[in-house]
Amino acid sequence: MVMWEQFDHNEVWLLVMNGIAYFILYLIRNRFSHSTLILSLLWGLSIGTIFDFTLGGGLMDFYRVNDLDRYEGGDVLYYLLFAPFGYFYLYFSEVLKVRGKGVILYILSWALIGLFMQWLFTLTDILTLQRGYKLTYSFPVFLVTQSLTALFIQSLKSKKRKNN
Amino acid sequence: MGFEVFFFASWLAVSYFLLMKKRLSFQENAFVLMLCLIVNIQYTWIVFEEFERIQSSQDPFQYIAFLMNRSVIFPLVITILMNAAFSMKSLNKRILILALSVAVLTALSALSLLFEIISFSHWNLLYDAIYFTLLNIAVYFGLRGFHSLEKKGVRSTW
Repeated sequence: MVMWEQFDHNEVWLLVMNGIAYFILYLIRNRFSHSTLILSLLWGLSIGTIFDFTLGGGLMDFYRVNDLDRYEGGDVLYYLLFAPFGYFYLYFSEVLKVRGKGVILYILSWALIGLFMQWLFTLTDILTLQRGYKLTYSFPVFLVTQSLTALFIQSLKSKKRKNN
Repeated sequence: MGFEVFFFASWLAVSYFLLMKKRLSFQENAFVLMLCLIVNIQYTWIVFEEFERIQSSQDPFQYIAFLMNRSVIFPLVITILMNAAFSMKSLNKRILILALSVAVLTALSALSLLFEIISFSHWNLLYDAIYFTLLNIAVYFGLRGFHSLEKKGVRSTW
C-alpha cells in the first residue's frame, strides 16, 4: 500500500472536488438532524463502496482508480467523495419537494449526474476503464443505486416522522 | 457446494432480519449495517488485495459466495446480534452476545475455508477473530454514540 504512485493531476483534481463538495455540504448541513446527516453520508459512502469494490475490483476489475490497481492513499480521497452526494440527494429532494411521479425524473437526473461525474473522472485520469468496460454500462448501475437511494430516503423519512 | 450454502445463509440472514422484533430503531439498524459494510469491504480489500494474506477463489460461483458473505451475511449477523445485545440490561449478557457474534463470524470464515471460497497464506482464524472482536467493540460504541445523537435530534424536523 502506497500513498500515491505519483502526486499529479488526478490527485489534485480529487482534492479540488472534495474541497468543493465538502464546502457545499458545510453550507447546507443544518437542514436535518445530526443523525440524518450521518446516515445520508454513510449511505453515500456505502453504496459507492459496495458497487465500486465489486465492479472495479476483484474478479471483475472493470476499472482502475488513480494510478495503480492496488490501494493508494489517493483512493481514499475518491471514496470520500461519495459521502456528500448521499446528503445532496436528500437535501435537494426536500428543497425541490420531489413527490409522486417526480421521483422518476429525480432518479433519472441523478443517474445522469453520476454518469457525468464518471466521465469527468475518466477525463481527469481518476478512473481508467479496462477489460472492455464502457462508460455507458454505468448508466444501469446508477439507475439501480439512485433508485435504492430513493427507497432509503423514503423509509428514513417515514420512520423518522412516525417516531416524532 | 459453497455457493449454495452461502446463498442459503444470505437468504436466512435477510429473512430473519426483516421478520425479527427489532430493539434498535430503523435509523440505528441502518447505521450499524452501513458501518459494518464499509469497514468490512475496506478490510477485506486491504487484507486480500494489498497484503495478499487471504486469496478469494477465481471460480465465479465461489466468488459470488465470497461477495455474499462479505456484503450481506457479515453486516447482517452483526446487526441482528447488536439488536439482541441492546435488548439486554446487564453488561455481562451484552458481552456474551458480542462474543457470540465473534464466534458466528469466525465460523463463517472457517466455512469459507472449508468450501475453498477463500484460502489463507500467513493468516489464520485467530487473526480473523481479533478483527471481528475489534469491529464488534467499535460498532457497539459507535452505536451508543449514534443513539445519544438520535435522542437529541428527536424533536428536530428529521
